[in-house]
Amino acid sequence: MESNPTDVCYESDHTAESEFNVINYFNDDDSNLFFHRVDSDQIIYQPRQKKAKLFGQYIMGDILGEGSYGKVKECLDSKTLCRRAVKILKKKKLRKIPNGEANVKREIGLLRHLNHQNVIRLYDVLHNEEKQKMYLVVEYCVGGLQDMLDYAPGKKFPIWQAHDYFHQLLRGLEYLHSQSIVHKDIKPGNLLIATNEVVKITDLGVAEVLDIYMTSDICRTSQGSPAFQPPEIANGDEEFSGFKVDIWSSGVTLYNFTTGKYPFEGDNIFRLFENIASGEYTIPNELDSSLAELLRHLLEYNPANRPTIKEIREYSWMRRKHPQNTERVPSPPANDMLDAHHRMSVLPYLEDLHRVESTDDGPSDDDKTSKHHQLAPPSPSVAKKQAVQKSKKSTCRQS
Amino acid sequence: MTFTDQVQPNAGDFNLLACIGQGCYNSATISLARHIPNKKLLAIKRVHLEVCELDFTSVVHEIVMHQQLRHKNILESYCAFVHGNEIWLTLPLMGYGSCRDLLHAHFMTGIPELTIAFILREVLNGLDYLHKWNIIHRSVQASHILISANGEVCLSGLRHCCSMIVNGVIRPKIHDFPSQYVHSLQWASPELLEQNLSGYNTKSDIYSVGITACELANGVVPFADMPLTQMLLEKVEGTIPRLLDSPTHTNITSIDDGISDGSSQMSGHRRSTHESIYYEMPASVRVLRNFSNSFHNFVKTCLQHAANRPSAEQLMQHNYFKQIRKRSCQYMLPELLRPVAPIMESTIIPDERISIGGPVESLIPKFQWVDIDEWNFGSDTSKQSAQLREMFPAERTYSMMNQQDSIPETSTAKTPTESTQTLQKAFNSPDTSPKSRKATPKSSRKAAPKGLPELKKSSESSDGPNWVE
Repeated sequence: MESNPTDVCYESDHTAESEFNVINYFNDDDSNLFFHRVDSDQIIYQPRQKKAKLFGQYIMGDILGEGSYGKVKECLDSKTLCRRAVKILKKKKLRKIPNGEANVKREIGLLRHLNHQNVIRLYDVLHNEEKQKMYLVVEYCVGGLQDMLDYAPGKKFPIWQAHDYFHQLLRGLEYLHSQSIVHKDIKPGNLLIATNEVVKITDLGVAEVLDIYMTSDICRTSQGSPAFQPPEIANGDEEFSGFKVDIWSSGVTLYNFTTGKYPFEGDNIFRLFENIASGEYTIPNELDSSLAELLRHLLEYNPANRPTIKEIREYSWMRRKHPQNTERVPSPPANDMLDAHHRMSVLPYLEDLHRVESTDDGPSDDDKTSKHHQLAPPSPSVAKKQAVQKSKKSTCRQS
Repeated sequence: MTFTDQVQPNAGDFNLLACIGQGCYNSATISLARHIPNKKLLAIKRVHLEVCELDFTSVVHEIVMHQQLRHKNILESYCAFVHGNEIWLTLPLMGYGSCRDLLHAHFMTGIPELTIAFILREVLNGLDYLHKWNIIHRSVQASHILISANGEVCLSGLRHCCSMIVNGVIRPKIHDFPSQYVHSLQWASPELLEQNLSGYNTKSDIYSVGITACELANGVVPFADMPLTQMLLEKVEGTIPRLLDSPTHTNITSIDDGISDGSSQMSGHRRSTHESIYYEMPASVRVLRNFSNSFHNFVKTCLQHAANRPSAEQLMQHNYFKQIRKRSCQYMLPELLRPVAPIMESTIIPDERISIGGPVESLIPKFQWVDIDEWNFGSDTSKQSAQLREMFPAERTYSMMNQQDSIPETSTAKTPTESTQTLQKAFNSPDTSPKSRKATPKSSRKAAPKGLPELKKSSESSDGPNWVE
């Protein structure tokens, strides 16, 4: 499957195709530069040149995102036809990140045991020793809430949409906490959205599992994103309540959803932590007073005064039904803003897979005959058909 | 007090007689059972909770759906309870089993068009009910269409059905991809399989009806002869399966010719690889099979792009169903399905010494059918075909057709498909008086329960294959 793109048996027929063989050389490393050079009608042929790549029972699709650890690609489970995403981790890269390998191991261990609709599902873990790669097969998501915010006017969600997402975030968080897991890195960037508008909490790389015999949720370390850290971490406290960290981060997330801003900002991490530690922030006046009240409680300086998830649900803003008077902020279109529906990117690869499969059995030194074999129906059946037709005609005449 | 009320969730009330099927990807056993208090036969679906790799919630979902939905074309359940390590779901006995069973056992190369019309009309009726409740069935397929001994058609397989109402709001589209869906993928609509943001709705079921129609008529489900991934590709790229009969068969040849010179491949004209199955059928079946235009059109209509597909209600008005008009499937189906014998009271008496888990096949020979010649109206051919049938029991249907091929046209004998063709013509021609049309179904309905000889007589009295009208 990993073979050189030139040995596709498509050299013969069309000039357009051979041109694309050349392009495929470059396309293999996913540079999009060459897309702009071709006419739109030729683009149709471009996907045909994608080489199918398989790992385990999965067929690889296009890249969904890229992180410091490696790429995230779309893939398709060939047994169930379920659309999935795969996190490809390169062991080389992981070693360069502080705690990289340990975090991944912990994340896998955690995700394996989790099953909730608002927490990303891990379906499969595959290793490729040869390439020193690890594949984490997870639920397919259309995109992250951060991408949606970046794409949205004013970088914020309409109130009703923010309300829906926050509700789902709480549900996922409640589940994690019930499993004695402190996420420690709740932020829009770690919330994904599935095709059915379900929010999925992802990236449990820095999460902490509390000892089941422990009576409190005391944590000592945190590696989460600075802008979402509570004052107790900004102050450098030795010990702090883990669950209340997540509550604070959810508060910052909700603040961000509804205002498009962050309650605390800073040019660098020291300035930022200084601001957080001061506990001074403003809530924009245009926000509904009930929402402002909820935010103030979520961003309570003293962790003990922050509400629990149960209490959050009691707030009038949470209980209210918000009118859908504004358009939903959609996920930004995939594929260089061309595909608003986020179509399966695996299909062109499938085309390659099934086309190559059928040519494989033909003799490779004689492309033309193999192609003929592939396209023409098996000759005995043709003969049969013709015979059948003839006999049919003759019976008609008889009658 | 109805029978439904009498069935109590008490395992002691049931006497398990035989295993008559498997469900839920073999984690469930369907058993024939006798309800001891009132001696009636019923079916019990036993889901083994320890062996099964099933998602438990889906089992619960199925039971809940069976109990919430009330419609004559949706399989109801009497009650469900836990017994030992199993969940028992008591269901009415559907004597003919599923349409898949019929295809496996008797109609290897497909069910006759007229029979399918009766079946599909009921299926659409059931779907119409589900769709009006904003429920998508999502796994309409031959194995989920059950037929009772007296010809009632019910939809089962409610495990995959889902509601379009999410959080109290009716959604125009849903995006959920069912878990453990492997065995229904071939029937799934392209928009469901695509799993993108455009989502799908109740029209997805209509596509499945189209595929099921092909399955019933062709004897094999479209795309069965290729890997799932290729099926996905074909569906998304717009390959539309169709009924395979001699007219379409002529078309296939022409398409093949166009492709083999290599020119049409780029223009997007794909050879429908899924039709290769057709060539494997005996030539006799292929030549003689000729579905009506309205049936072809029905399938095409179902398999259109989602936006153009009609609703189940609209489809029930389709020309295809005009050949059966308002006649009830209740008396017609058992006649049309002959010689298949349903599992019913008469087939398992007098003693119930059938071991639990014994194959159904052992039941069938007990049933003595008198005449199997339901399609031959002329008496002259019946003897010959009966002889042939004895010689080639498995290829019964083909040999019958072969037989008729050699008969001059003046003979009244018709193959099933031919008879429906004539039927179609008869309906289209204006000179058929409505009076006579109305009269015939009545008489045939009366005649039906008494048995076939009666029916035959009525058909002989009026010329042509009138009894099917």
